[in-house]
Amino acid sequence: MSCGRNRAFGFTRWHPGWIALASGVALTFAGIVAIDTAETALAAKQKTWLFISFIAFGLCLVPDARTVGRFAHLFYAAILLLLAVIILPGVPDAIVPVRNGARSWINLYFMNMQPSELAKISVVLSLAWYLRYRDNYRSLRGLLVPFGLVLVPVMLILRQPDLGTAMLFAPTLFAMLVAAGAKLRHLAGVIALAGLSVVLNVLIVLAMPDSVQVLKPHQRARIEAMVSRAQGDRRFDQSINYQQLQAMTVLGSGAVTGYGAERSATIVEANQLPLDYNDMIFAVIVNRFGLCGGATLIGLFLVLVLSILAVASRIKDPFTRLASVGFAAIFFVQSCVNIGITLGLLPVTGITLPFVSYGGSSLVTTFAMLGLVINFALQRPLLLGWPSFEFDRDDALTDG
Amino acid sequence: MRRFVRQLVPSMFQRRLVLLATVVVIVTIILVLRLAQLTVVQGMIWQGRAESALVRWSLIHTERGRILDRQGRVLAEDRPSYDLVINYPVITGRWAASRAERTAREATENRRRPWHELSDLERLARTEQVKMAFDTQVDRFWSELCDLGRIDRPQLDQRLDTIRRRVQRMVHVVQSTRYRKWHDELGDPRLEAQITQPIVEQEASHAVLNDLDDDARWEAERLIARAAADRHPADDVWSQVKVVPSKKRHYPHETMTLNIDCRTLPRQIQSNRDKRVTVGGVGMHLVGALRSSSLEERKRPFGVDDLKGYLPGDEAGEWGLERGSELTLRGTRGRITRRLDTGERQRRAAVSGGDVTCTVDIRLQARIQALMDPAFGLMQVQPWHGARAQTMLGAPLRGAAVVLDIGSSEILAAVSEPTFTREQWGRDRRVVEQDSIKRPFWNRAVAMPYQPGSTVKPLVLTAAVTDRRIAHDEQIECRGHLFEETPGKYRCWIYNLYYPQTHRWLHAPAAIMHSCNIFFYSLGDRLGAARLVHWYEQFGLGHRSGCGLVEESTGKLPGSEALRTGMGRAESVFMGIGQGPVEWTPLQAAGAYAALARGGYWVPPTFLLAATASPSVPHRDLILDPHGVAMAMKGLWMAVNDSSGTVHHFGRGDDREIIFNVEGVTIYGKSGTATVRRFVDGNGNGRIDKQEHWFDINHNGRRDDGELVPQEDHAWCILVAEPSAMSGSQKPRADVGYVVAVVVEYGGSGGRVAGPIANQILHALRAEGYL
Repeated sequence: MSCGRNRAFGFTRWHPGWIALASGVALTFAGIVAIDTAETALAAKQKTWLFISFIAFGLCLVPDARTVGRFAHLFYAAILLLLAVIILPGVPDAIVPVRNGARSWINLYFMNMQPSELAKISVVLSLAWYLRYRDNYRSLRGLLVPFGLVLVPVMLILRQPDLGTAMLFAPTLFAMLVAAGAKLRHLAGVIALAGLSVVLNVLIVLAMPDSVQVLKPHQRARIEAMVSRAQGDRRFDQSINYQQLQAMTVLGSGAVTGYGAERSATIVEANQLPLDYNDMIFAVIVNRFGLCGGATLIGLFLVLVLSILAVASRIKDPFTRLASVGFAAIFFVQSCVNIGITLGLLPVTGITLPFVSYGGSSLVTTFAMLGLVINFALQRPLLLGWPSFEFDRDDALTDG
Repeated sequence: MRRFVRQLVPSMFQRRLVLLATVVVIVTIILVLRLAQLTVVQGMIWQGRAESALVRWSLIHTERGRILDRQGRVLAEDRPSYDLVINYPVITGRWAASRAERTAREATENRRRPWHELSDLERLARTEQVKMAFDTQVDRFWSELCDLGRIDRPQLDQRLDTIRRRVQRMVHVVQSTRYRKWHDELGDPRLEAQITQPIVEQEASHAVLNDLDDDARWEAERLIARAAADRHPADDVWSQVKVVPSKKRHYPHETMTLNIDCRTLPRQIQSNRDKRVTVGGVGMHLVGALRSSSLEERKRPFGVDDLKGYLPGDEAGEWGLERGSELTLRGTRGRITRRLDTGERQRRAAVSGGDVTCTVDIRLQARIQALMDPAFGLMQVQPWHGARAQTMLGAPLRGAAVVLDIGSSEILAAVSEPTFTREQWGRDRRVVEQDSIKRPFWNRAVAMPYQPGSTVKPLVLTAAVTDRRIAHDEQIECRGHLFEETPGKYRCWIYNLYYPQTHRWLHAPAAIMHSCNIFFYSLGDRLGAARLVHWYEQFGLGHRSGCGLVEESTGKLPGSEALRTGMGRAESVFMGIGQGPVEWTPLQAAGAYAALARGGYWVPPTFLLAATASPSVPHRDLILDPHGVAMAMKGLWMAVNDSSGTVHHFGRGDDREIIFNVEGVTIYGKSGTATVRRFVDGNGNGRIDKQEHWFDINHNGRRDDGELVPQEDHAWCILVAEPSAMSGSQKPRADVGYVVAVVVEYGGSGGRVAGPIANQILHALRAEGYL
């Protein structure tokens, strides 16, 4: 009954979640147009996936937020189990097919499911449920559990290997901890340590002999290739840098207004951009619509993320607050990394552009997350005795 | 500031959200700026790059030019042909096994126990039952192929084995590369299953029968069509076969059959009947062959602007004219350019390679090659050869012969024995290349320098007369040895053989006729090493003539460094009789004698007719003293025509036999018996400090394994011959004569061994209408 009352209350009032939904739908249609440019046959399939995604979106509106939270840890455990199963040796390829050298998919016969996509939802919900009434993460020791919650699925995903998805979790955790009121100096310290290790690794790759290298050869090769390209060295143009260079070619040639539908399709096909309908879809959009189209798309992502943050700011329940921030972080980090790769700012790793790239698992998961955000926004505001994540007084006492 | 922010946004959670939103906005701005940089600032660069991909081109095949002989006969040409190709699984036997399993599986359908319920052993047993039928079919198929290709089963098996080995090598390379790539890039050894995926060649068709004739092609197509019309075409092995067009380089005159008159041969091998001889590998050294273009490719890679460049898989000449005239013979591909956006097409036609007409008469070449086949008799140790005949009778000899037209300096024939056939080359080229004793791959006529021995004496005479080191009527006394004080050194050959006989006082023509060493030791001594080297260079030694074959040798002469540091008197003396640090090829020898016959005008010998040749070495007038030339030619005439001449006869008493028996031809000639010694500058001071009695095959100055100690000297005979319109004269006409140069490695006496071969070459010239 309470669920029905909440919906009746929520659907009739305006809130920023609707903007997020509009942005998400707009991004999806932009994606379908771009997929049509790159691989016409896949555009129709993507429309079907959009329909299924709307169903997933609708289903995510149904449960009460607290019910979602109560099942968060169970969901998290189930996903961990799936992630463990797909990397277990001896699992037949018929169930876990190898694609592009990775075991990331489970064959459900009517569709392929990617557990790491669901892991994004489960980690956010689980973290939010864990952090909602605590304040122990404001100490360094208290950070261990949240980090552990993220580390376990990340390690499993890295074993697939799927570096692109795995690298989304750390920024999401940081965003949620920042929102939850963790001490910034603690987080800054961790980030500084991580940054230092990255810089050290790059220096080791560039300056040290093979005998002292820590990274694997392919990881070193990618770093070397990226540094080389930045220095104008074209040695890797036909090997490691090929995909990124083709993406930049397709993207850069779009100029201010783009080539238009027909010519853009020809240009994209002629340049043989790998994964033009998927990871490199942003390059296709810019090629077709130019800087205007690209900037608009980035703007839509900005609107999407800011509106979800606005949703978080308006709701009072600590669990839904943090979960919304987590989903916003996922959307933001994933889109930034994808676009950063296409723009040549980051080394290439397989990662889709949310809402835009072709792919059923990705689109369904994305709309499910959006559905949960809208669900949270629709919840009737609760009257709490003490506002959540307000630690000003503690800080004042500590400082004083 | 902090207080202001707290007043502005009292909630800590809200402030943290503002912080996150700020980060989001900043990162978004960075992305937009980078996007603007790529699309606006660098937009033109990327546009150019992207639009260049809109232009697609495909290539049009071209043909390699033909090689023709001087009579217009085709020696090499590209000819369309057909190959029979078979799917690789048939070659490995995998096809029969997989069809058998499939048939056995299909047979269990609708049975009580379907295939998936059978145990492995039951499946295997049922498959084996069916497989016998497929094995029989494949076996019959191989027999049919043997009939089609007119080859026997061992030959077919060898071809199949070659294909299997080649594919397995490729599999090994590809899988190793895959493994390294996967291991390096993903670091996941579990991906081994993908590494062992079949490569394209394991699924592709491979040519088993090449160059099918029309009958074989139609029969193969009939069998393929029959298989296609079968109720179960996939069960017929002929469904795995295709006849595909290909392009082959044909060498129509590689094997020739000739009648050779045996009545003019030395008595011991004479016959009253013509001998019908089939010669294989005719002109093999001259025409050359093709090879994979990997080396050339690096020199001239194929490019959009250079359609004549090389693509992987292209062929290029490996040796001979195929290599020497590569740039002329190689065609230029055509190109069809198509723009993907506008559909605009441009066609640039292919240009066939140019024809190369060589100076060789392939029938004359074949005739001389037949004469120099040891089976014919002249190039094996014969009783008239001298002392060695007692122990090595019948042993095959090796050597070379060159026939040069004096008027044009065109080479009519250049034979190197032993040679090889294309079939031998195709079967196992390594055997041909690596036979370091017979060295059949070596073109002895142009690429192998030998010490000239006495054949240089006419040249030394003209040089000495021109340099005024000997008066026109001067005589020199042969006392058996050059220096009074050292009777054991620098001896004349007659003194060695018939001690104490000497030539006594000789004038120049007689010295050539008798081939007196003392006379020419003296001239060498008077000229000195520097002038001798100068004159040898003038006669064409020490540099390439640009004859059209890249394997041409420069011969060997002391370099300027050796001359500057001072060569001893001994070297000068030895060089006067064609020993010491001087070597020439049969081609250079023929060129030098032609220059002498022209009265001192040297023209570079060539294998290319004037129309296709691009002379790289200029002609030169040696400005020889005409009287010296006349004396030299008189001496050469006497050597052949005077009964005391060194190339007049061989044998004694009743066995005495005149060497040259070509009627109506005036012959000027000189034999040479070159002592096979290596003169080595052991300590690198530019002076010869030791002599080694072995043949230095690789010219490294050391005796290596396989470099044998020869028992005999190199036998030379060089002739100038012309029709006898001026019979009896001692002055040849430069425009109608021919030079014949023959060398027989370790043959012994020049007159006895090389002379009869030169005589038969004159008969060959007559048979082909040149004399």
